[in-house]
Amino acid sequence: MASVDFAHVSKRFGEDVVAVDDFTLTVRDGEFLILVGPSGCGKTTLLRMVAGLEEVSEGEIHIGDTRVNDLPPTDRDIAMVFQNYALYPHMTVYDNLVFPLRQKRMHKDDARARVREVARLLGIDELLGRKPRALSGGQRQRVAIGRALVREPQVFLMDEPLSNLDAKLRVQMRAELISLHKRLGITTIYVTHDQTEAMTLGDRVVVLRSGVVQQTDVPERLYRHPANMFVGGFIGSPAMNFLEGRIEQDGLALGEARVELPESVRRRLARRAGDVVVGVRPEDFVLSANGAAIQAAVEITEALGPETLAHLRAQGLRIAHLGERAGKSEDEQSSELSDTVVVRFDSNTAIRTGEQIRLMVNGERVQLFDPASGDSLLAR
Amino acid sequence: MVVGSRRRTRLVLGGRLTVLSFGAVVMMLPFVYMLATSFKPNALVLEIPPQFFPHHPTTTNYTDAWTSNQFGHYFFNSLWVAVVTTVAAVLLSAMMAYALARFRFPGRTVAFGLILIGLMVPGMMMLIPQFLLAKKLLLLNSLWGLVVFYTGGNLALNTFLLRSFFQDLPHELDEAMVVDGGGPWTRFWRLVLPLSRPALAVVAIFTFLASWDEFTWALTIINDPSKYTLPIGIALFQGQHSTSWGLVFAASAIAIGPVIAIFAVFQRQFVSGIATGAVKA
Repeated sequence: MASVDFAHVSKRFGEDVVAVDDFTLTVRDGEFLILVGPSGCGKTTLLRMVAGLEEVSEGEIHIGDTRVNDLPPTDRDIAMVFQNYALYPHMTVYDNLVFPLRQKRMHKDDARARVREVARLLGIDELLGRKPRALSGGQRQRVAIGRALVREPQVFLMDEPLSNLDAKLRVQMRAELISLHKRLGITTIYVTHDQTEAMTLGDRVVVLRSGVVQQTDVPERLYRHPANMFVGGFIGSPAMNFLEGRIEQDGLALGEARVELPESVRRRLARRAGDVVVGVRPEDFVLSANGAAIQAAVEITEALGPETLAHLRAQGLRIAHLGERAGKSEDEQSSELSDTVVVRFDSNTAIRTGEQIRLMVNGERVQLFDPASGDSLLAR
Repeated sequence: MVVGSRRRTRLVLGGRLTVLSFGAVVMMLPFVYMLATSFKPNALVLEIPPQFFPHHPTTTNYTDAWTSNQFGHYFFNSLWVAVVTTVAAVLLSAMMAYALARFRFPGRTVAFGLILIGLMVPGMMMLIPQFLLAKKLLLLNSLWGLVVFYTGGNLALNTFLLRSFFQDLPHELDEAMVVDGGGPWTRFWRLVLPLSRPALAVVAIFTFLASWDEFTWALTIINDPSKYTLPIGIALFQGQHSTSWGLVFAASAIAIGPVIAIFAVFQRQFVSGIATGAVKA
């Protein structure tokens, strides 16, 4: 196993397209690192540069102590799992698994033993004689992972490996990947556009946007302390609510309501009065009987079992718009509900469509952003 | 309304069947007539009205055709030439197509353009330059002279067809094999060729047919009767003053055998090959 070191790595396609811009990061030995971001953010390009399938335009990539910029993929001691599995369709599962070992000219008996061991580990030992077309999605995914595992690589590269699976299987495979990584401890770089995968799988998560790193952090901090509105909006489902607010002497003004901020935050913002964007997670609203609370009408409720999501139209509250709204797709931005606030209640709270309710915001949890740049005012 | 639409469906179906039947008859009539005539005694070959079911069928034409003029020998000459040409042309064009489909190198577009130009030049125009070239290469009056030029003549179309097929193979498979340690040759032999069986079957059948049937070039460079191929052998039955049609048709029927056999062997791949690209897999 080895660390992977990116030093000022950039990738340009032609003159104009910058897919990755000055990326610097060390993936620690044995770490499970996630690259997450919307389509076209450069995450797959980064992975392909590590694999050697894409040339590095600038900067250096080291795997362990070896500079790999000019090494062919096969000499990098990496293995890759592709989005659509890329199993060789004309070969049986056994032949798929043994192929990388044959290329290494491993002795036949050793190769057979290794394949059987990996097949047992992944629970596919019954399928060795089948062709990929006779496998279910989950089985194909296991074979693809097996083909990568069998080589005992220094680094594992995964390009959205779960995105072709149905929701239930994805949850199961996610758990299996976590347990596999715990057992084997292979350095893994995992690309996904799914923030849930990023949050559940990663030791650390890198959020990318247009080839530029927005934040690199552990999942919990990414969720609780986003570096900017983009990260706040991208990480978490439903997304963070962004509201127009004002810092005033006595706290944070949200429409007619006043939110009390913790002492530490107040001290930080001592010299900053004026407009801010307030980021509130859906679960950071509380029902309140207080007369100064935010008044809102319930437009839609979604009962999800353990919790209920309510889309509210709040009186006197304005949704913050920062040019392009952070982390939301065009569809979401243009939808009728784009001007509502999403609040998460536990399923015991009775919330009905059309109802008028009063809400307060948990001041301990709010995030404050600069309305011009979108950067967090609370980032450490 | 339902009755009306049912009647329309029936009419359309009937129309289709009529057109298809007409087409089938036009295609099959000469073939059936050839087969029928090949079983007729020589005296009844040109009888009017023509008989599609001979009154006195005989296999004499077949035995005579096979035993006269070293016909069996011509048959095996043709078979050798066609098989060697097919193997060489399919292999070479697959390699060219693979390079053009999967590698970026200077002059790639120009090279492909030249190949396409090769497709557009009529074969007859090449006859004299090819003859001069064959003479320089000492390939006149030799079966290798047929193989080399048949192979060359088939490369353009084969490369064109295979290139577009190879381009449609998923790039991720190539990349997976690159990461797994497979070099360009491994990818060609172990990935591209096995996955391209339908396309290879198509070009194999085209090449086999083209070299099996070829007459003009063979007649131009082969003088030695022991090196005649089947098309020349069949032509020998057509005399200056009279033609033994029974023998010509029996010989033609024999000549069709390997073509049918090849088609039968590759049929499944062939059908899926010509449909390739029609729908996204």
